[in-house]
Amino acid sequence: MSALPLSDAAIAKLVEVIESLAFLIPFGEVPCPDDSPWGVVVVLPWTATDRRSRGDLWLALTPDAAAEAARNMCGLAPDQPLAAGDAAEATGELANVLLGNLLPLIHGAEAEFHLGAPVSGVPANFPREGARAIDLGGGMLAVAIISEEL
Amino acid sequence: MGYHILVVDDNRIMREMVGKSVRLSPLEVGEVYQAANGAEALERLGEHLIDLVLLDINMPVMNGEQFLEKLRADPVLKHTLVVVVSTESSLPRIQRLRDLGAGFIHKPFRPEELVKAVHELVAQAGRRI
Ligand SMILES: [Mg+2]
Repeated sequence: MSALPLSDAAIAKLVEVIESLAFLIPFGEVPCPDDSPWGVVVVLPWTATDRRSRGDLWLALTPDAAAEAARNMCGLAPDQPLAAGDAAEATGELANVLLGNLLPLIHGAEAEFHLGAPVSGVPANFPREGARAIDLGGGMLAVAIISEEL
Repeated sequence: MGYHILVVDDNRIMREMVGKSVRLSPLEVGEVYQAANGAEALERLGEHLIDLVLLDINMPVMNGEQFLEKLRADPVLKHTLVVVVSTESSLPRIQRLRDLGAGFIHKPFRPEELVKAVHELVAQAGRRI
């Protein structure tokens, strides 16, 4: 498995998804941090239906960013409490929508994929190589894709 | 009265978002039911009168494409209106879903896209009848 370099078109798509789905405001790209400030990390596996390639999308959000995404997606007021699991659920769906939008940029519009269910990732294992991070003004998000030819 | 709607998505937050979008839209909405996969959706359709299904594709147990094939093969339910609401971007798969009579909108979507897709489907169904 190796890190897939993410193009600027992929980052533009990432920005579009976090703005329109999670209503987060991106303040531009920042270096992916050395330490692991992540509160929620999800790993979303995919396989090409022709079984020629597979991979994992990693999406990591700092605790504040994950909570804000969940709050926005659930339509909660700032003083309303989040339910248990909301931040993970919101991050999982962000990963799902993001991956669905990135795969055709990488493999073309004719390719078909099976997307698995998002699972919790270990923050310290987030693959920094090839990752790109976005400043969310007080919070941060990073994404990485690793893949292999089968 | 209005449309009785079934929202099918494995993600709880997405089900809430889609449900809220239809309630806030100009569509006349009756009851809004939820299901977390295609198998649950078939159960809901057996329990309630449902006019419109808003359907995710990537789901465990029974995915949206499998659900749609079963729905179209069911003598009672086969004319149920379905709009696919999915991250799906593969053109061949989207065409297969359209061939099964479903509308399609891409996540992330704007509520007005959902309304437009429903209106197009209703107009098509009207022409078929
Ligand atoms: Mg899904």
